[in-house]
Amino acid sequence: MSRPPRLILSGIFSTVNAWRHPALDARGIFTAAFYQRLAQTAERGRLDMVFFGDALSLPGQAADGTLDEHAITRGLEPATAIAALAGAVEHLGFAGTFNTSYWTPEAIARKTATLHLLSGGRMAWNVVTATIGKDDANLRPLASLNQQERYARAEEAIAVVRRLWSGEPSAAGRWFPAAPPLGLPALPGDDQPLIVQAGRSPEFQQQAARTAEAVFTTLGTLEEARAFYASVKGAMPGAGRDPGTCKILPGLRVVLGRTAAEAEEKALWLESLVLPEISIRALSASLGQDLSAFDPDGPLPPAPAGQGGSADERAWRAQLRQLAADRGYSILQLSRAAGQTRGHSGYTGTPEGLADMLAAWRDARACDGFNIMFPSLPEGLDDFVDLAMPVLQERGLAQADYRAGTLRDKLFGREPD
Amino acid sequence: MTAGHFVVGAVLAAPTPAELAQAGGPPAARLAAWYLDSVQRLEEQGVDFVVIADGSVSGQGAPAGDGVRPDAFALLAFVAAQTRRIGLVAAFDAHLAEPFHVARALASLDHASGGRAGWQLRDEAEPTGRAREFAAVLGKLWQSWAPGALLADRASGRFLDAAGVQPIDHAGDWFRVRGPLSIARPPQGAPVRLTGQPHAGAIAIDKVPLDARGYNSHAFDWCAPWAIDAGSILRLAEIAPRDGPVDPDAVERLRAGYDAGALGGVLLGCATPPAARLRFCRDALPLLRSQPAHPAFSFPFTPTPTACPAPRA
Repeated sequence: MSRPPRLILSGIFSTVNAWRHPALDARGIFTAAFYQRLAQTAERGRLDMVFFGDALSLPGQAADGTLDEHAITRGLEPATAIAALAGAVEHLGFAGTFNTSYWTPEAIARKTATLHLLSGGRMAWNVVTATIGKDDANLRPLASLNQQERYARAEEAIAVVRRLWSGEPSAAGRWFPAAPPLGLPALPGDDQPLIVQAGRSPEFQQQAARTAEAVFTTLGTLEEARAFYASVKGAMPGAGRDPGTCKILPGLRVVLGRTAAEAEEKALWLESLVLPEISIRALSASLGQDLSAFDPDGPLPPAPAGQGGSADERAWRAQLRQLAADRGYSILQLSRAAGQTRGHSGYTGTPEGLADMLAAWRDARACDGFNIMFPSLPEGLDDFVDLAMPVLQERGLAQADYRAGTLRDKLFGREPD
Repeated sequence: MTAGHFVVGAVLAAPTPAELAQAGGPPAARLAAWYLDSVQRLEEQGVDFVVIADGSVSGQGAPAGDGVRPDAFALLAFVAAQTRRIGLVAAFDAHLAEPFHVARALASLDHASGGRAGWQLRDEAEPTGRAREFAAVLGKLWQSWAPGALLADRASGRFLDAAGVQPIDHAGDWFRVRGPLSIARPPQGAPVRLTGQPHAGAIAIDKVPLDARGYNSHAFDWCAPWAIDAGSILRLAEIAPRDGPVDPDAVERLRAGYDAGALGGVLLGCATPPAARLRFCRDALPLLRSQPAHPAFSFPFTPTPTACPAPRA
């Protein structure tokens, strides 16, 4: 039997948790130096890539426009941050979010191709399609659609972007008008940025099987992850694809200590950095229900009738309610648990314990790697690189050095030209 | 106003695929190498700011119009990380862009470059009013964070002062933007505008009659009060020197215009060959700048509302 594959590891740079951490000057999120230092650490640790999520309004802004003073904002927008990193590190890949509801395929193709060319082929496009009400207030969405139409439109957007990347013009389709060639050096299929997609619902799994080359997803348990993995990979042959050509990377929040007790203590301390009213406000937004009038130490009230939302939003709400019921969490406890992981799986403990967990997920065919959420930056990343990576590398779970070539070459083991 | 020395800006025309191929190195690295080398050279030559047109702009500003067409904002952010002084100006068309995206990208560039971002609307004179409204929305978004509104105060847990981060609630003929901007106030307050029209806080570019060698053919009899008393406009003459020896008479006219306060400097247009740019900086700049080693360049403009008379042709 062949050696089990190593895991692909991505790190999330766009969400700075626990910004009151004494090791962080939170104003740094607006400087290039902040991201450059993170990227150099990630490259020292041989992470495969880093991820910049995005949205087009302030995270602390409510739908009605009111602003939460305590919420940290996003820092540099993804393209600027990635451009600032392209020359600062040599091997690290970059995944950036560009939403097809607010950017035309031409603009996305030009931006991502430019970043790909500037970085010597290390770019991935995280395709996001959903409209967000408060973003709509800043940018008129290009389309307002139901989920099925949204997926169909996203698929066409991906096809248009790939065509433009390849140096060809794009013909008019159902959703997008014809577009002339980008006028950039042509990127044929194997030289293109990676297509990354994020989601969870059954409809998403079908789309990922058709178009995604990497998937970021929220999976709370090993069982959920196995089912998701089997579903996406199982649907790929039907879409004419080899299941090896899509890498599934669930989010994983990691809090590390030299001992389990030290890690637990650190996790509790990190939780205490978030003010209670802040985490409860975030939970209210997730559940679509104002919890501010309820006792924070009391139980979660029943859901209001007739809640709508996308399939992913409904699934996340159900997951939160299940968590509260299973663990007997109060509102505050649930808000902290939700704020920590946002539905992703979490690990708190020693590097050896983390290696055991990652090996178990890999061996159970639950994932091809992880998108790591750091409980704080830069400290959480420093811990991951300094404490966990040597152990993961020793056990063959993570790469000890980079392969040559583009991000695509590195992730899919293609021999560079 | 003046920037304390004779200002030189340069429009960097995009390389053609053939020029890119000559950059050497592996094909995947050539775009990065070409732009980095080009802008670093401009910086070494004492050029104060570089203008790069976004690839979405048709014609690209290149004389042949067949240059490669990268995203200017990403390109400038890449270059910012590996330069120290040079101003970084993105030129784009309002009819192809959205103000929220552009305001955020330019604010990000301004942060990432330590206050070196600038912008130019290439279609600012278009008749529909979209460009004018676009520029107004950019200004409102950059001002949506008051100075000092970014707190990042660990003790109170307040990241920002909500009283200083306000929606703009813009609703016009072309755009509806609630705001505020989703990134903190740019270091310059607002990235510097490059314009062919008189706007407070801007660098104004005048196309002047050129002689056969691409230099200003006439003395500067512009109304000096516009350049000086308006207090916040830096007026540059656009020239396009050909390759060959520097024209001493034209340089003297520039010097006289600068000394009289009518002129802040020049913009070397996109038709200027790289060798001519180099020659201008090497041979003409020492005559134009009493301080050859200029201090770290910053766009030293405070946007203040000022009534400006129209420039004379």
